[in-house]
Amino acid sequence: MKKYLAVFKLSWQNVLEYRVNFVMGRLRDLLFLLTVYFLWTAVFKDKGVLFGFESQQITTYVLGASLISAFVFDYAMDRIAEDISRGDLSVFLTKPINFVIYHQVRRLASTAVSIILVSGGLLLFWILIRPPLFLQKNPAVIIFCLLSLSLAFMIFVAVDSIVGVTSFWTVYAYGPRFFLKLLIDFTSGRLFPLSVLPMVLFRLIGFLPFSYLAFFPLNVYLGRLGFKQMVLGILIQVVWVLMLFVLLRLIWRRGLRLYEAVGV
Amino acid sequence: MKYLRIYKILAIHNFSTLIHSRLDFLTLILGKLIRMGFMFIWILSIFNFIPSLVGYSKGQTLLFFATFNLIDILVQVFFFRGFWFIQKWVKQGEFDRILTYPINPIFTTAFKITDWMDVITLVPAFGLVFYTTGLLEIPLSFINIALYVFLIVNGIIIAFALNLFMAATTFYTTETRNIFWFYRDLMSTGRFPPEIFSNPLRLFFTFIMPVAVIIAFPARALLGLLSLKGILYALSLSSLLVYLSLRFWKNSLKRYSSASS
Repeated sequence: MKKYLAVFKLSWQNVLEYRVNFVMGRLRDLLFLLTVYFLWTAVFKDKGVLFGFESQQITTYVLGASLISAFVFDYAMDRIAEDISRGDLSVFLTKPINFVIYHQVRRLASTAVSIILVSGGLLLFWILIRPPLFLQKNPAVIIFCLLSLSLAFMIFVAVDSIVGVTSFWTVYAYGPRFFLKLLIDFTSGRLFPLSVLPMVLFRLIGFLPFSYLAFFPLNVYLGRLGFKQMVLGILIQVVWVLMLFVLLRLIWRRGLRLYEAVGV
Repeated sequence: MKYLRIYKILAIHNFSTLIHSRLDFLTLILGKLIRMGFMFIWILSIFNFIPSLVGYSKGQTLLFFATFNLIDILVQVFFFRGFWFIQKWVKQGEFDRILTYPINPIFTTAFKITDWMDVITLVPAFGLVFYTTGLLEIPLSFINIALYVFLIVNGIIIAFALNLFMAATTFYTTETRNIFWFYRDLMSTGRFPPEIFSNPLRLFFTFIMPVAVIIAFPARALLGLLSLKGILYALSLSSLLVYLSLRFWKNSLKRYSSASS
């Protein structure tokens, strides 16, 4: 545990060292937030309820999605893929440290800084625009929401690592990474509530784990789900977490058998 | 003619590099199609609930999205990748070699990399434009179509000038990655009619970061909603930006010092 704490501290310092790049990245998030906010404001103009959402709920959804993006959607797969493709993995194999956990802990440091910056950005956005927000007051629902968020985080970590590890088979896993990022963007509910989509597509997306990354936790927070639906959703998340981590282990083992490095 | 021959050689070389990993090639194209497809379905779905968006009908709103895709993809195919990679070339000293070629370094930088994946996605992008124009309730006149094409070319020229500005900043700092990304994100706001934004932002997108001139002006011209003043402004802006970006590049190049020296 101590060694991972040291990794976290070092990564935290690294993020702060390259703060201009990091802040620019968050500025981009803010620009996206503005676009989506103005789009939904235009859509909801003079409308009460659309696709089951009230105007206040959709604004909360947009801001909540922004915060969830900072917490959940922080990719470590780029570094994992690079280390495997460049042969840097060899160094890790000789050390008493888990390669995937190492990269996910590194990612945690940038996630922590992201959450602070995005929270600041959201506060600034709220001060400037003062959009109407939905505040959840039911403690049970808040607990369910936090639980679903934690599980969403774990689902993401597993998927993120799996795709990074595919670079055992493809150089830098550049294509799979790009594909997955876009697939997750559009099927997680991070960009828009999935219920706006046609029912067939909405149901198809339900077979993937990604809608449990943002759409489900946000619906829990907004109180749009009954007790049974929340429990069922959490159970599905748990099943996804277990299945994906088993799959990660299998792929990792197979990949290691293929792995070759020179110059060590 | 010499430049065309060089462009052909570079493009063929890029293609062979790209298909080196077929899995990457396939997943990259799939990713791009997913992005375009989902955005299209998203906008289309919104119109299941509302009759119009800021005064634009479904077909008209989709026209902004289709025009965005077309311009964005054309920019990516021809010069965005090259300008983007200048950071790497400057850092690794590769730009030294570019300067020694008997070719204009702007040409080599801009057109060194042809994005073949986007050549493929051009097919659905054109398809989208034809589909959306079919949804329009008004008949399209020859003048409006000609203006649409003309303003798309004008928009690509503005985008070229902006890319040249960004590329030239690499001679001051090599940490320009996020500037390029920020530019891409700003361009993405053009997927929707600019009228969705508040007034200050709309002015920003017209006069400071002219996304509206690049994307919305051609779309408005096709719909017959762009005034003569707007057309003249678009033309003047592209001329001014090309002039300023060339000057900026020339001055910035003087500051370039080789990575290996």
